[in-house]
Amino acid sequence: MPNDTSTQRPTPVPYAAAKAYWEAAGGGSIILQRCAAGHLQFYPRAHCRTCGSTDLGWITATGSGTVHTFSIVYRAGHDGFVDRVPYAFAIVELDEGQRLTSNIINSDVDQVRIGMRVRAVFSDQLGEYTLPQFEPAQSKADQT
Amino acid sequence: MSNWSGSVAVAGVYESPTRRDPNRHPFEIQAECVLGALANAGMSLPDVDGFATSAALEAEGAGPFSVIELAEWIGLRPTYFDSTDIGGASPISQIGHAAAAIHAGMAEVVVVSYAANSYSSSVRWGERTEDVEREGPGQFEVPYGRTIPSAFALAANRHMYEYGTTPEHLAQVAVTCRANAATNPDARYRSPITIDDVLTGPMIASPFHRLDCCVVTDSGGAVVVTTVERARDCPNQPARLLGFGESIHQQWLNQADSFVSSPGVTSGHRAFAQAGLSPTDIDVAQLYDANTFTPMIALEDLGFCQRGEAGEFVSSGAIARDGKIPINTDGGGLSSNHPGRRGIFTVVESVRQLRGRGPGAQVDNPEVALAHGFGGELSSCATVIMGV
Repeated sequence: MPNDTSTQRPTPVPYAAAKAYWEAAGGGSIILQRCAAGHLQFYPRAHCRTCGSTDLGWITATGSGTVHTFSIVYRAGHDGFVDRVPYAFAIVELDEGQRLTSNIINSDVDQVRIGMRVRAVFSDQLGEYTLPQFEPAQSKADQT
Repeated sequence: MSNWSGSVAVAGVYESPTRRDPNRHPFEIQAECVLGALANAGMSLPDVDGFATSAALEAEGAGPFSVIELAEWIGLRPTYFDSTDIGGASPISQIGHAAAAIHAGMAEVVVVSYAANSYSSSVRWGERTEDVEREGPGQFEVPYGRTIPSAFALAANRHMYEYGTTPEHLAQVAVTCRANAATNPDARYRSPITIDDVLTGPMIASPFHRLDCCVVTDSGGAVVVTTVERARDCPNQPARLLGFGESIHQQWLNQADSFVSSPGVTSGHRAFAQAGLSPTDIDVAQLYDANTFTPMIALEDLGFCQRGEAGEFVSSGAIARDGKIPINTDGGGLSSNHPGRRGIFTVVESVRQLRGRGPGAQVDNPEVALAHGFGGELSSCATVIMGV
């Protein structure tokens, strides 16, 4: 287990079914589980939460989605976030329909909006893990 | 199912007047509350055969098996006990369970109590839990900087997006609670505030400014639940329990089906069904205010107004003392008291209202009161309806 101190963000400690997800994130993709009956789910489990099937495989998400809702955090809860405020804490609905908790980055926090199209980025390294985050689908670089 | 509606009552209530109490262990506050509620019911420790507490965190003085440790501390050997932990709604949930247990003959006198020193505790509320959460499904959320206000803010922002709710609507809830607290001598804050005061305060997690968020206190409360027969002999007017409902949905925000409704739809429906009542029958409501948004979603979930209309509803004056449905008459968590699981005070204040002894804004002769709590971040709800 990583040895956290209070000034570091909480680092994931993958459980059995979560290991593949974090490995994929390290490789720059978001993967979702799909059971034999076709039910998609996030977060990963050893069973399908819809039908109980244990016959599960993975699909690779496109990484595109929409901001379902968000809040700009000005006051950190955990000490590991004190030097990161203000930051955009968000729920992103992937085009596959599953929702992820994440951050919207590479955007002025005042520009984040519900309904905004976003795409996954894999630039945030936390210990040995890469945290999938999202940036505006129309980035400043695209507009030049 | 046998319906216990009307056969069980709250016979005693107590809210500690303390708000900042750095020198006492939370167990000392909780014992004060248990003894206070028993005295209010004209009872003493030997009368008690049931005990419930949701103490589970450091600020509650708690570790594993806390219901046992607190029973030991207080001096109880209960044969009915309940340590249900669904967050801030836990005490309401435990009161519902106690009513069913009393009706079933499992217990006769149950004390439900809660206390914490969240203001003075050296350990932040929820601190250290991240170390456990990051090993389970929380690993997909806590690394992104979830805070308690920001979790509720996700719902408030979505509600604003879908229904046009405004920061001014939210602020009105804080202003109303502060007005109610004005005459409550124990309230944490009593000076009147304006909508502008709320909106010009520092932002905590958009759209919540500081005054959109509840106070943090050291305090506690307790209620005594017993049969209506026994309650009749008590020195203070009992409040009959008429209906109860509870529901849990999800812990993690990425699992929420909706950010604009909550488990309160189900808990409220069940409570009204058991009581045989509807929202128009309620004279006064205590709606758990962890922030200015939770009472608004509760007004919609419980049917006091239509879905999406809570903003206009609160700004119309409907939630004021002389309005259609007065809420949080003691000042609520926003102005009076919030040591951690405010659910206990929603019941304490409901009973005080029915007795005509509300310390803040007393409603004129209420006959039916509703107490509604949330736990987690719109994760759980419990609702209880009481009558004279």
